Amino acid sequence: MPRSVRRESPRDESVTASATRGSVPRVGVVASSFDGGEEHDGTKIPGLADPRPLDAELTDEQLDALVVKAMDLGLLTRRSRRFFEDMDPSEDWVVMLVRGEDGPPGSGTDPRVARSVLRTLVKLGRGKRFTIARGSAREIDGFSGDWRRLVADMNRFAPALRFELVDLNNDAWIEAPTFDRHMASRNPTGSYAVAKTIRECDRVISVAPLATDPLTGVALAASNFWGIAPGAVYGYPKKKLLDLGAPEEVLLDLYLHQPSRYNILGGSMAVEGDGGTPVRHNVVIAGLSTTAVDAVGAAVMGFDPKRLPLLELFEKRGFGVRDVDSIWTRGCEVDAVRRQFRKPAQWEES
Amino acid sequence: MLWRRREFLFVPAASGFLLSATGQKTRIGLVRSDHGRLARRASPEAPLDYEIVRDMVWRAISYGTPRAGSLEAKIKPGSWVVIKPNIVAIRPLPWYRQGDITDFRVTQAVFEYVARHSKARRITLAEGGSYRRPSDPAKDNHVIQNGQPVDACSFDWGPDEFPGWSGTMAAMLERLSKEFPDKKFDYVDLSYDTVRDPAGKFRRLPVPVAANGVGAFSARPDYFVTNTIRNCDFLLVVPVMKVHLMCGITICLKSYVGTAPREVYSIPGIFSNQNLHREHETDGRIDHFITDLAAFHPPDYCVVDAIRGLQQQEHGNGRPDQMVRSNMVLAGEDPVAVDALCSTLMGLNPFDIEMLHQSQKRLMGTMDLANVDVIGDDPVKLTRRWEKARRWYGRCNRDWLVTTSPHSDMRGWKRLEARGDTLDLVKALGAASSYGVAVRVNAGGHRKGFLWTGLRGKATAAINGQVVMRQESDTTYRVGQFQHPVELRSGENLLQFRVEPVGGKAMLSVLLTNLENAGDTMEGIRYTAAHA
Repeated sequence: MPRSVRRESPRDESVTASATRGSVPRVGVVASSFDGGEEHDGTKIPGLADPRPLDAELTDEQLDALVVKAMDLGLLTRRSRRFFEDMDPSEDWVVMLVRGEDGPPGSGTDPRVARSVLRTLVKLGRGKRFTIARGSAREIDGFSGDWRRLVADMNRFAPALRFELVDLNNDAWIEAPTFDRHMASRNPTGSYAVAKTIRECDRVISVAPLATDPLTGVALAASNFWGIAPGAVYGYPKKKLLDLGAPEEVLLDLYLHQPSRYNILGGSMAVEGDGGTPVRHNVVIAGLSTTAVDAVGAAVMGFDPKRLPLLELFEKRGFGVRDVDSIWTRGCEVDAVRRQFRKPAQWEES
Repeated sequence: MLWRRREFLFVPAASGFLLSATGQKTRIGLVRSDHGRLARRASPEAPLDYEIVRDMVWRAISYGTPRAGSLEAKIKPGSWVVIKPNIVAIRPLPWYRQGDITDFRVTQAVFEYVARHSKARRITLAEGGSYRRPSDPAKDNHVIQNGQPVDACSFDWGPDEFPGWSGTMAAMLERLSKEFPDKKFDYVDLSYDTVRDPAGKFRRLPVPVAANGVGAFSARPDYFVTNTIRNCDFLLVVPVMKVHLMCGITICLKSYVGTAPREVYSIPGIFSNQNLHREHETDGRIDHFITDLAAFHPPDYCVVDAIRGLQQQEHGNGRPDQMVRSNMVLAGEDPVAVDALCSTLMGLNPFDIEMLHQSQKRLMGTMDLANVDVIGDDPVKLTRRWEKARRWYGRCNRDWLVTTSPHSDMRGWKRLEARGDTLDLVKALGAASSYGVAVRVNAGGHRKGFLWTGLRGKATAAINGQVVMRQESDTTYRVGQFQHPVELRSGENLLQFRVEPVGGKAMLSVLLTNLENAGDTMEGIRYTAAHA
């Protein structure tokens, strides 16, 4: 009989090879020191052309190589190709959800990481309109020069496509309930004001730094979704949202409005402690599953993902797994790139 | 709540004398495990044993009487009866979970009922699932149990999956053969039962034309179908009640996808009907080919397993809250009415289920619950809100008044029925610099909700002359992409669009949703393209 490849049960039941999708999430983990590795089956993974120490300052080219390699390992797998290739995404409106730099260097998304992600998508023909969007916790007047230069550069790089910046805090918004059941316990209607850009786009990509956070322990790809609730409605720093329920409940409700399709974490700078201390840690993590990517990110920062209520809730809601042992990491081993980030003083591990 | 009690007639089971007075309405039996007339009752949340399930099934059949007077009266002596449950998956398949397939206790109870009460000569278990038959030489998609390839008939479920029932369907058929020696019991794997031409080649057949002239809904009007479904005398479908990602529900009509032979519709490595989707999917919907497949032999009777079903999507998604226990069984001869009632029980608006409109057009039954007598338990009390698919949207308007001269008098605009949710104006009317599109919306009272628009082009929308949307889109077209809050007045409302092409494309879809904004059509409205 044909080779048996599926799960075995105590009754000795299985299914022979079928072309169903694997359920193990894949996450690419690449540090600046990555000099090559191996797949589970022994296939060699080429390393970076110019490996550098984890705490070295990186040139734009070195950081770009890091991002491209992580995307290659975490996104461009056989499974994820479906997301890139089905339904012809070449005309999609893609929103890159980034984090504003509300604190020291490393507290926001690095525009250089964003640039590498955009260039990769453009080269793959995965979009027609690209919107870089953020909704900072504090009121910021416009995007910095780095972001405006990035958009200008991208419009030159791919003149047939459209690149733009949108401040979600001042975007047109729509009052709408979370899809199906909402989680926030003090929000009886389940309705939120959500930026129209997020509701109307075809795909969201969340690009976040490695950061600690007093509310949720870590603030990674999922935490970018605080930004989709406009400050024009919820004030600054959006405390009205916290009136609606526990932070993880509200965040999941917001995420449900338009779950992110790809997630990229890290870069060169990060923040630890109460969010005020920058650290250099050259790691990029990428994958399709927000829960899995954030779980790996948390593990890299020295947190136990199984003890983060936010990830527990995401897992319960069906958005993937948070147990790092159940995630197929490709590239660096988590242990090899782990750095114990100082936890926020107010954060209490559950 | 999507319906009001006045919308249909609920007849308590005790009022048997009322039944004959209800005239021509179709009847549906609805029995929950705590139904008062069961020999033994169980809580709606409790696991059931076989005796209770059989009592529920038989009682639902006795309530859901066909026009012939009873199920056994409708089955003519000497008939070949085919009983088709939903066994799309067997346990080892990775997407299987409890609630994915018809409860075998329900299937067995139906078999026993037909064997005991009817004069059928042959009773066949028929299904085509996503697994190969043991004799198929292909290497993939075989289910293996204890080292042997098995199928729906020979897979041993053990004692835990369906408490009170264990073993294989083959053993059940063997038991029945002994108990009813005058009848023949057998199993047909519909995946391998394709109609062939005299040379032995697979043969496509055109969708039969209904008495009112309605033919295929898919653009391609011919299908591969099976001998068993075509030739049997009496088709009794026994589906499980579930949410479906693409068509909202999968119950009686959707179960016909299991009658499309996978030996011709599958692609290498994947034993499901990929080519059926490729050839017949229309505007992102599968309803068209579901109704077409059902047209080859509409159900003669339906028994629905609503004991355990799946919400969110039709197969296991790994979420612990996906399986919904309702402990109900429904029975009736009208598949459209049964599906409409089930939709309502699941918290969906039957109006949003495209296949109900299509099958009603084909005269397969009624989706109007005002024409239904529900006998047994009170459906209003049993209605729950099942979690729909995340990308769910209801049925967009189909009937339009259109023109390439938007400033002209609307009385001269042309009536146009869209085949799907999307109105492709360039295809329908030819290239033009702008288009006028309108529909009247009758509301049963003042309504607040959302206008869901799918758009490729540049559009302005107005309700009763007041602009409610200005939008432009040149990216991927999607139903419901743009959502704007709107209000309707009681009575007639005029919804008008002016659309200009962008990049040579002008596409539009329109759906008015409830204030809940979850994709369901606004309660109590009807679209009409009639001239004023």
